[in-house]
Amino acid sequence: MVKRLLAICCLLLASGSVSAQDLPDNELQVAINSYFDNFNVKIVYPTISLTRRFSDSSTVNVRYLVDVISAASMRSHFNVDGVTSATEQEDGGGDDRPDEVRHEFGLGVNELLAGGLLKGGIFSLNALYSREHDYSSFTVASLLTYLLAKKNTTLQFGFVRSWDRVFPQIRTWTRKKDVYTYSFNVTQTLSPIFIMQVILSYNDSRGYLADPYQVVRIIEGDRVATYETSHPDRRIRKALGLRLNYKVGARAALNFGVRYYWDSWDVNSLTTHIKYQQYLHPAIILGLGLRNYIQDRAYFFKAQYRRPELYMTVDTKLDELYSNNYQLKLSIHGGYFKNIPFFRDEKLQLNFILNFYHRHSATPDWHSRLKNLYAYMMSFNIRYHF
Amino acid sequence: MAGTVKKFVIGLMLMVSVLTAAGCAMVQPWQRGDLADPIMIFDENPIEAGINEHYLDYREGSVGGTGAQSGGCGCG
Repeated sequence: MVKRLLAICCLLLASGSVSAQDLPDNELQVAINSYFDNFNVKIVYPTISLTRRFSDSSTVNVRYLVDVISAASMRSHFNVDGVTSATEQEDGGGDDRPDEVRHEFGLGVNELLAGGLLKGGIFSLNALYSREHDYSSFTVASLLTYLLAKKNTTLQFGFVRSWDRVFPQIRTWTRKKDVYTYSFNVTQTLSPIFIMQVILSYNDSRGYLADPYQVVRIIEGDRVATYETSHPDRRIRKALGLRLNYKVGARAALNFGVRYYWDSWDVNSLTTHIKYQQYLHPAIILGLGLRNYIQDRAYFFKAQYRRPELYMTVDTKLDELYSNNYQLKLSIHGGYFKNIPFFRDEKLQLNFILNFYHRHSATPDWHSRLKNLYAYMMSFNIRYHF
Repeated sequence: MAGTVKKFVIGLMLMVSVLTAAGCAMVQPWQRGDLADPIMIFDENPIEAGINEHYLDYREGSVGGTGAQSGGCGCG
């Protein structure tokens, strides 16, 4: 039986064949993204990405992005009573000029594997370096893709490793955070108009996993004491996702997805989404999406702590909550509007994406004291294929 | 949502996967026109998917299982 399974696996792997067209196209992409919410968080997020094919078997991608963040919660400076790590430093996320700027640089290669044991696959390797005034992160991501059975089945094995450093400027310490993520995806063509994807992921985070700018307030007699939040230093996170994409007639597609997530902090969540995309014109695509999310709270999250505990948090992400996201997307492809100069070029694509997000948590947010978060996310991107 | 619901959801997802995959037929290269349509491709723009995931990672307690990759900041 085992030999038969091995033989089938070998046959499937041997039937895999990829070509240069399976690699990403030459593309320059420029995007401006923004985020605004009723918690007074404002983010502007420009990105630029260039993908260039260097041979029939390899492409290189370089990427740069900037996050410019303004958040009222980071503007607050809390002296911590319970732990001797509070400082009086004047710079950084705890001062009056919290406009945090994060720079991220990315470099990646995709390589068609023409020989050796992994012949017939595509190997992708990406390195990312991200830096802000109180946080740095270096990530290496690898992905091995196999196309099997006349490209009806795609297997993907991913591994991502991150080395992060946290050095908040209202504290005296620097802490590490190490993240290992393993993923396995299967994409299966079910018919000429129906495709399915199953995604498994396993994430192991170790080190400092709390937010240094959050504090827990505890009433002690006639005073309110503030303490640093404290989270367990390890978190195992698992997720299983299923996505289906179905072509409806000649001009529309329906995408449905469901994900179940569970972790070692007892956070369980269920995500469902549905998206409908319709050609309004051969060059114009309208997309409408709805996403629902519901989660349990972490085992150590409490609305109110009566005394200092080993693990304490006020992080709403770890509370019981639900959210809904509504998306509107408009894509316009060039080449069809010969009278409009900018749209004349068929290599050009414009995308406008608007998201409206609502999150409701069981406990009011630690800083804004609100249970409902309302946010707008807008993106405008230009893609140029050359 | 723990325990029974978890088993039910995971079981349901696996059952749907197996049942749909069991009914699939080999699609020939000349039949793949619709599948190559941009509206039929999962994460047709990985950068866009990553940005969307990034916003959600910061506001919710879950990661993974979506196909998109986010991270690189102190927001997780």
